[in-house]
Parts: sequence; structure tokens; C-alpha cells
Amino acid sequence: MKRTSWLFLIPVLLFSLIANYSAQAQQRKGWSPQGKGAAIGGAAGILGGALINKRNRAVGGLIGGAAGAGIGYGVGKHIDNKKKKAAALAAERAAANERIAAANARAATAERRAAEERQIAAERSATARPAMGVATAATAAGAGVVAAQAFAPSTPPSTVIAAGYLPNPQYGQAGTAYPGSPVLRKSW
Amino acid sequence: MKFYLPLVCAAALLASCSGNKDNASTSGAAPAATSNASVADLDQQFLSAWNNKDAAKASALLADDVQFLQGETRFSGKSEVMNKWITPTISTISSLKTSVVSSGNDANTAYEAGTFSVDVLPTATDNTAGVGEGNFIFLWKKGGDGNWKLSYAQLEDLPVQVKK
Repeated sequence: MKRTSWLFLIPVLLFSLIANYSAQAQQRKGWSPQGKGAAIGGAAGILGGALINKRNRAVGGLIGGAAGAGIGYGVGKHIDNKKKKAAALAAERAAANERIAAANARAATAERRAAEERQIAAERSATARPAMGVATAATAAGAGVVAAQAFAPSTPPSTVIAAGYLPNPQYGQAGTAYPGSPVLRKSW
Repeated sequence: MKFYLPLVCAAALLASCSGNKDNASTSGAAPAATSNASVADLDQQFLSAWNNKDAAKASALLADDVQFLQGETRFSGKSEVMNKWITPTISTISSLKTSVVSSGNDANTAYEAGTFSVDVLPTATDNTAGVGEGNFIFLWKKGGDGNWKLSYAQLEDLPVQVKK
């Protein structure tokens, strides 16, 4: 009993060590799940093996420890894989959201610039018409506003391409998905 | 022997306590990945049809009364969706990928929603390649014959960037 009692102390010490270490190491890097699983499995295996094999507790402890460590490592590896998978998924989602937010911001800037260009073009046409004597200033201004609102320029503003976006070939065409957008939006 | 039993019990208790935090942190993501197997498979079939430019396969997955919404367009019925969305678009894109944000399924309906990205191929008039992104939702319904069909699809496209 005196000799075998040491065998029982090993897993107890291991368990306490792991418990203490993992509690303290929450803030630091800590053990890998595989290491932790192997240690816990090994400790449990030593304990179980020594308890089951009463004739030779040392051999029982050794076999149990080895088997327990192996199983523990496997369980730890499984947990680690799950963690990594979840982290990769979260990172992918975050990256997609960032990309979309950045694209939205750039698109808003491009559309604002295009609207400014349209407005400038409308103002120019409004000021040009009275000089030609075709209409009064009031009707020319009204026509300019209508021109600014309608989606009928022959080509999308050049700033669209300069900003890194494809132009919308269906700009101003009714019955299309995004007739009001000078940049191409419909991809899929 | 009896002397060590409380020690063993205490050690086992401590060890099990320290392991629970890890389990709690991982259990949140696991069900999302495993519980949507059937709808993920349906969407993969549909995406494969697009990536293989197989319009017939895509058509076979549509319900007769399928609804398709995109921007200002609303297409209703299999033939309109085929003629106005799938057929004109399937040859203009490649490398269609989705990233699922939310999904679910029960006995008769299943949905998947998230973001997509796709390469826009150069055309005869514009030889610039682009990269498109956007949001999507697909709603699948089980028909009377037990086959799942796409019943509702909605796309929200973001501006297509020039591919670098």
C-alpha cells in the first residue's frame, strides 16, 4: 500500500496542477487544448489503470496513463479544430462586412460626384437656353431641374470609371434593376 | 485508500471546472454550422449550376411560381425568371461564392441569407472585368412531390468594382 500510494498521488498532483495552471493562464496564452486534453486524459488514465489493475498498479497506471493521454489528446484536438473553424468563420464574416461597408462608402462618394456633375450640367443648360432666346429663364430653369431628375444622359459620367467602378450600360433604362445608378450594380 | 478519495474528487472537480469555459465558447458556433446541412446543400447545387453555366440545372431547381426581386425588378414565374434573370446573366459571371450569415430549415421551408461575391466577365462592349458583391436571400419550399424548389430569391447588389 505504501508503494502504490505514490501512484495515486501522481494523478492527483497532475489534476491540481492543470486546474491551477489553466485558471491562472486564462489571461495568458495557456496550454493548447491538445496538451490539456492529453494531461487530463493521462492523469485520469493513471488513476483508472492503477485502480483497475490491483495486482500491479504500476503497470496498470502506465497503460491507463498512455491510453488516457492518447484519448485526451484526440479530444483536445477535436476541440481545437472546432475553435479554429469558428474563429475562421467569424473572421470571414467580419472581412465580408468590412468589404461591403467600404464598397458602400466608395459607391456613395461616386454617386455623389455623379449627382454633382449632373447638377452642373443641368445648370449650364439652364443658363444657356435664355441666351439662345428659345425660352424664358424660368422655363429654362424648370427644364434644367427636370433634366437633372431624369435618367437620360447618353453615357454615365466619366468620374464613375475613374473611381474604380464599371459604368452602368443600362443607366436610365426603365425595367432594369438599377436604372438610377450611373455605376453598374447588377452583377449576379 | 480512503484518505485519498476526497483529494481525487476535489482534483477531478477542479479539472472539470477549468474545461467548461472552452466548451462554452465553442458551442455557440457549432450548431450554426451543422444544423443547416440540407439548405446548404440546396444552395450549393444552385451555385454549382451558375458556376458551371448550366442554365438547365438552375431551371430545374426553380419552383413554377418562383419570385425574384432585384433592385427595381420583380420577376414572377419560372419562365420570366429564366428569361430575364438566369439566361441573360449566367454567361456574364464566374466564381460565384456566398458567405452565409443566417440560415434555417424545417419540414417544408428552408432559407439561407448572407453575402455574395462574383467575378463580372468582360463583355463585347466593355472589356473591363469587374468584381461584384451584394446580399442575398433564398427561400426554398418542399413541393408536393417531396422535391425542394427555390420559391423566392432576392438580391441586393453593390456597385461593381473594376477588377485589379
